[in-house]
Amino acid sequence: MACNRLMRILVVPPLDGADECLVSGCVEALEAQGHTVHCMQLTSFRSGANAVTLLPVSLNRKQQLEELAVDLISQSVVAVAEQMQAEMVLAFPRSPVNRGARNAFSELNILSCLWMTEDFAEFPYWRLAIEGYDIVATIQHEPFISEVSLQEHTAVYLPFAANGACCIPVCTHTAADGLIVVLGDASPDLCEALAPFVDRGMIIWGEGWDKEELFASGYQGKLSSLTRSQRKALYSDAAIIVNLHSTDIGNGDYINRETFAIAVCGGFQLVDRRTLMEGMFGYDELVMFESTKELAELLNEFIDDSAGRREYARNAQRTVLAKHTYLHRMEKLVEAVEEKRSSEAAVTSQSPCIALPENTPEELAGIVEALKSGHGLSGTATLEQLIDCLECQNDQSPEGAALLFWAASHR
Amino acid sequence: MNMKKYCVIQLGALRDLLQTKRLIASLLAEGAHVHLCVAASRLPQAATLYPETTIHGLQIGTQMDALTANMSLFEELKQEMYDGVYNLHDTPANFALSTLFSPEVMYGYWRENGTQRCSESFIHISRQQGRQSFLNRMDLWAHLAAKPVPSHTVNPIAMRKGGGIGIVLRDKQGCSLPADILAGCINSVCTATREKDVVFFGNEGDEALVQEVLKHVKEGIAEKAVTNCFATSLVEDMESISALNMLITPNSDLMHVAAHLGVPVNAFFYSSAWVFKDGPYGLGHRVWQVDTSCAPCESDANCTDELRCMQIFGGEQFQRFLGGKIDQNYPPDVTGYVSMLDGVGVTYMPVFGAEEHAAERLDLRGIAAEFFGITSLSSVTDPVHAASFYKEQDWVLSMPIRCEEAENGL
Repeated sequence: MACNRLMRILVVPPLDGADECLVSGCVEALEAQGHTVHCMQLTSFRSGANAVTLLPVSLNRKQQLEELAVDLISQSVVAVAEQMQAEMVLAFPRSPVNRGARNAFSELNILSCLWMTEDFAEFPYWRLAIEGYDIVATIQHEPFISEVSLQEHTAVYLPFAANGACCIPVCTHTAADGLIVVLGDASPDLCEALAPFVDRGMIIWGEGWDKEELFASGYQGKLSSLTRSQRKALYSDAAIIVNLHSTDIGNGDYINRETFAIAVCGGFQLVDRRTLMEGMFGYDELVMFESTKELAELLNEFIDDSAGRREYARNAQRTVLAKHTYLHRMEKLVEAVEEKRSSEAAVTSQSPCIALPENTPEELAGIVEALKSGHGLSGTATLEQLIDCLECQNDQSPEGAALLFWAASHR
Repeated sequence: MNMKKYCVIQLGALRDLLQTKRLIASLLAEGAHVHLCVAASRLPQAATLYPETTIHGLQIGTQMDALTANMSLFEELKQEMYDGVYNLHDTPANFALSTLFSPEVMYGYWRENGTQRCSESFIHISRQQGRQSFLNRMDLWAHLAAKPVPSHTVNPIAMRKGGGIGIVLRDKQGCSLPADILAGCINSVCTATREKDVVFFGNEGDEALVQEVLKHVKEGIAEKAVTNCFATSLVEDMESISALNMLITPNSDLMHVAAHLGVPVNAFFYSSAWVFKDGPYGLGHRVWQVDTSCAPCESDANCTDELRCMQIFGGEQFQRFLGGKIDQNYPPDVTGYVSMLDGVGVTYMPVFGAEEHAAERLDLRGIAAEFFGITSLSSVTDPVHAASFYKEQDWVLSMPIRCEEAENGL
């Protein structure tokens, strides 16, 4: 990869710590592309911010304090971006990046990107939340994407994706034949469709199931309570995963995270059809339904057909790995960033990229490689990434310190 | 047998190396081994100034051999297992070097798991900028030591050595006073001291500047003037300066050499120089500090006022005072100071001209003395002056361990 395309990037996760898979998927993908990536550490801020929302004070005072809290965290994000000389910031709708921070990015010539990972219809704040970002990536297409473009943003259609590293080959699956996993919220029609299969072994995550007597015993909790490793185990072990986008089946556009995650884990899913699946998944890759009646029919069809399930799972996995990983998404986003940069008249001078010259003695190159593996970096990691890693950790090794000292004379 | 071993990292200029004298002396006074890390190009200077220390030369530069050489040197430094490492600057190179050592032994500046840290005194002192600054760099660094040696033991009391007057042409940024103004100052000082022998210290290629100055210098002096405008070693400079009766200088490296040798300094401080921070260390020096509203300025700022501060030294009234004719009409915008010593270190007392910040400075030095443990209770006339030394976060946010516990408890 050409050296001058590599950037220093700050990723700012949502403050509530949700979407861990998505954030780490982005970070890992950008690193794999050779960029030097920092992920803003927000865990410690969370308890402080939470404390403010719980104060026994009047609503007015609380409003002011909450604003201060968001501002404090946002300013911290700006300071980190400035310190690391970031050229690009990637944030999400619930990331602590307030208007002041977004303005600061533009003053610092840092290109700001928002991956709008919320459904705009359920996130009424979106007009304010996207304000000031240079690039807004959306999981939804028309009419939303045109609406975003109208507000002087560069809009990029960027559906969810899967983390390629989570791939579990389908042939290694030891699916319990009876296990049906349901992910999504309850509705009377759904309950009716699923009722005949409860006896086959059914576990459920989502809202509203605990009130239905029949399903209460299999109910596990909210979808957000599932951890990364739980998901991985679940998606590869279940016979059938019923992946529900919404209770309003057959109406809706964007594709949820689970569709990609289940596919990459090699799971077999029955998923409610979304308009944006058109062209992204073929009929031999995803089994879609448009009504609860259809869902019941499909459950009947596949419950005892493990060969058929495997065939679909394999196809879906192949497609996702080939086209729908975070690596693909981040490439597309970086492309948009590059385009934006070159189109802007005043392109900022990038800090020179530090690299070992071609005539580096073998011994020295060996030391650098050893430092990389000692810090959990792959052999393909750039020298910039290594230096960045050394700067953030107390290495106390003579080689590491000497490398940092040497890098300092480049800046 | 239990001898302590310290390492002082001084990657700065010659003046910084000289201004590290009190710190190094204090560490040596503990009976410790002291190692000194300098840029390899300063090895001879460091060896001249600090023969009692073990000196390491660090390779600065982007070449590959610099990297390899440092790798083996850093290995050596790590093996030394220092009891204390004094890292005196906040440059990226200094922070990089600090990662070699355990944070517990660090003083000055260091980086810990990606976070920049510094000794607490540096934070307090960094809050008084410009005119408020009150602490000489020599003392700032010396007070990192547990027990700094008394300030009067650092440099000898400045005394005439019998060999005429030295004149330093350029300040640390390479600027010089306009030729006619410098010549005027030389004339006045020579009149007052009845000196006729002058030696010019300049860079290579400064002969033309000397000739320009000499045009305005009185004949009896000009014809005997000696010009030292070539590359000299520190040893040679020390030899020439140690014979002088006085060194006329802007804020320069050689000014600190003179103070180190106990040669009286007559310094002209304009633009970015500020006597309380940069002045010559020890007793027996004087500093003429420009006191225009813009002083002191940012050292690398472009002056929009055509360096008006320099013109002040050419004023007729000022020249008269410099020549020893003292009357009631002292000129504005310049203050004459003599160096003094107090519990904290070197300070300067105004002898000519008014000085606005004296009361605040006295309080700040008292507060600093309390902080450094020199006094338990200083007399502070106005508590407001403490407000620029301490800030709430110093005591409110100073418990990071508790925060971690709270986090883990969640």
